[in-house]
Amino acid sequence: MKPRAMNYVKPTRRRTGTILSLAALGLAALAPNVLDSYTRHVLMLAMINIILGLGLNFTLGYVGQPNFGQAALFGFGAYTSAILAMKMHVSFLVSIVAAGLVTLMAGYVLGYISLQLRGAYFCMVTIALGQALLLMASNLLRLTGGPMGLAGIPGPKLAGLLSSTYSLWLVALGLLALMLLVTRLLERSVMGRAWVAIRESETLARSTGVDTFHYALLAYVAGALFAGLGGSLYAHYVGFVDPSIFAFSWSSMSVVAVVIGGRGTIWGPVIGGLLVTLLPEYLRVAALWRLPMFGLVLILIITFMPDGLVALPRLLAQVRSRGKTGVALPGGGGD
Amino acid sequence: MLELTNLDVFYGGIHAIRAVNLRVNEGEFVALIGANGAGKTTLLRTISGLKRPGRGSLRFNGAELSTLPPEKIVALGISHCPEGRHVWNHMTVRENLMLGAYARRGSRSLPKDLKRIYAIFPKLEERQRQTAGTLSGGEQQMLAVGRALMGAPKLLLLDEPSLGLAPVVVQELARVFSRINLEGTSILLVEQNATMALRLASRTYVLETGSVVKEGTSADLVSDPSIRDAYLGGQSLRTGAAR
Amino acid sequence: MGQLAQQLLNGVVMGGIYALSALGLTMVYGMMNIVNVAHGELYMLGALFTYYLTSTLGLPYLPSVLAALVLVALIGGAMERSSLRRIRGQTMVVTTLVTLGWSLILQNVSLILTGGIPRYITSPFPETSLVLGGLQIAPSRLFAALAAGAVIVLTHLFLQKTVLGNAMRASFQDKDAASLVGINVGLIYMLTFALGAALAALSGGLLGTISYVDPSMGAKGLMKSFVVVTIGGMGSFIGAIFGGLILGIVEALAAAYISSAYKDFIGFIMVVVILLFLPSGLFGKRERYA
Repeated sequence: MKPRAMNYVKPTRRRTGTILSLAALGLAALAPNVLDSYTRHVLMLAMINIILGLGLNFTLGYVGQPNFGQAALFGFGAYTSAILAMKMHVSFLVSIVAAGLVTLMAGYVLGYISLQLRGAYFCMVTIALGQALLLMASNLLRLTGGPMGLAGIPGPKLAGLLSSTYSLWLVALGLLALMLLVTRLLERSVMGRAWVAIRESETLARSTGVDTFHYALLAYVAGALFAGLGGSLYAHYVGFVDPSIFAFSWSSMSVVAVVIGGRGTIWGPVIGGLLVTLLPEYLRVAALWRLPMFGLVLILIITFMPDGLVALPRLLAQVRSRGKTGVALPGGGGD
Repeated sequence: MLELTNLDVFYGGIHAIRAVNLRVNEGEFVALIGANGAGKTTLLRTISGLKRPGRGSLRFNGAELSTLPPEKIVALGISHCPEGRHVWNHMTVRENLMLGAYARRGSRSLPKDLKRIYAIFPKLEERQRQTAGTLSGGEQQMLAVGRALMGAPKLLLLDEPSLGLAPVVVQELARVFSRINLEGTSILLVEQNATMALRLASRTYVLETGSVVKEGTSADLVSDPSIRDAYLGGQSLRTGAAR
Repeated sequence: MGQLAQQLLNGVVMGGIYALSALGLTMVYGMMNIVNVAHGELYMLGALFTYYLTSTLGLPYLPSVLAALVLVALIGGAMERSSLRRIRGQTMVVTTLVTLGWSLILQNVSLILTGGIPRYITSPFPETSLVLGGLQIAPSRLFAALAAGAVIVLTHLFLQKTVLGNAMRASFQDKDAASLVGINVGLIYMLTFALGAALAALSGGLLGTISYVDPSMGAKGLMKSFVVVTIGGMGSFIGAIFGGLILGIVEALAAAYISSAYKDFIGFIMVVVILLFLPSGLFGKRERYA
């Protein structure tokens, strides 16, 4: 297990942190009033990507299993909301809560199957499940609209006053804040420590009495809940879903985001989600070459900065201190 | 032939080998004894290029080894029979032996060399089509030695060949080592079994926590009281029961 | 009865190609412990290069397939040397992520450079089906299946009987021991990855005459290969062959007797069922291949 150096934070600093967070949240809630619609759109997509990344981070980051199938759960949530809203005309609130719960249950089943396996097989099954759902979504014409998908999913109108996009902005922001909080709590709980123990050595964790399957499944299920909620947001925001939401590229994009930001950290998916969404939007020239560039960045980060961008300050500090003391000979200690 | 000068090796932050000087002359049988963790294996791994030295030089017949990759060092004529045998369990005895000659693949003398190994270890010929994983510990050790010999080495590095083997098998291996040495191959033998090492080698080095603390002819060392106490005294307890 | 036999024949033909395409994947996993997510892209590049060599350069089909194979093997070698080498021995998450990066690069660069239009490699074989004992088979399919079978046998002989093949197996069973007999293990890793890429490219070049060629075909090919190796057992040579044949036959039967829409779906159901009851596939060992 990695030692967590900052478990104890001075109460005053914690209070300042809480106040700052709340202030930031308040500003973010008001932001759409001053942002142009394009920026608002991009940031909205970024929030959805961050939510997706936070969910994936449980299995990929904390438990350390190659989960390349987060899109399956994301798509599941999106389709659930789309079908509920369009075929049963339920309200937004019912739709998003149901999407979260249904995806959570689906996640339990899919996780139960795929977590029988580890490593290579787990990786393949997560990819295969996405493909299986893609095929189902393309073929269950009456339910899903087939390859054409479902269009015209209504957005919400909170309190009858705010526009649909503003309402969704607030919901996304609230969910995001809540998810960050939940991640922080889980990370510091027994469960979070069990996850990291599994990542470091599952055999060792099991030998010390940790029910590794149970904890890995909970990570998968928590990820499913996040993905389901994110998928529902996406469906209501974009107003349209089609089978391509299950495609491997969605999953891999989320993997890229989590890895670039920093696996197994709370801010990793946030940084990664922002970068993955903002960079191609604002580097128009790069838009065409977006995916190959992400591939390249993924390789570079994994090879040279495996802890992701969140570790950048620490790396820089290390380089600076090494520069001061000169390169020490390896070892030097010993008896 | 082999000359280590002021060699320092670091292993995971540990100063494993400290300023070691060691020499093996042409045709000589040299032993290196010392307790578990003294750095014997690290020293051999450094000679064969699996580990890079921190400082100092390793010369073999005039060539500096410290920057060469393992495959170049093998090609110069050093074969290393590693601790724990490391045979390829899923490959047959014959395949294991033939790969021992990888560095001189295509050489015409391979069938003849294989025959020689089978003459030294008749058991290996009996089992040549079996996979190495099905052999007994003693047979695996013979295979590992045979594989190293297939490289037609000028210098043979042996790391703990007696480890975990029955006394009879150790005797047989000891005879083989003497014979190989008499036939012209220089040997550097690393052993915890000091009795065996001192009996076989003409010269012996004693390694303690990474440093050579004694060296001399084996005859001198056997009569040295401190060596007797530290390395030969508990011998009856150690033989065949190691790990 | 005649229809059943015909479907079985179709299944075996496709199964042979599936087996070939999965062979590279299972070999790279079994030997290097890498799940090569970019395997499908290498297969796609094999088909794409074959297409351009035959159509743009006007080369005959067979030399084109071979040239494509060499090109893709070079790409595979470059992938290993430039990135996979640096992360050797790290966890599977790490290695898989790097191959995912390559998959994104190769697929999307191909897409940008060639456009997403489906293309067809002109088959050098006559269109009319051969009739053998009442069963029909298109000459291009027959050739692809025979070539796949031949290459599988050759690969097996290479690994078992040649010095280089033995050196590969030795390197993956015990790296240190391999170094100590003078095997350049770094080079072996590169060659193994290049060989896996070449096998993928070959199956792409063969399948390109039967199906269409486009930059997104890699994902589909990867899925098929995954299904095959999961059925057969990841890392198992013989498993890839049987897994391929089983998938080919089951798909052919499903298409004929159930519905062709669910043909692709059947494979995934098999994967889930097999993994639940036989977690390491039909031939998978807990140990690694080689």
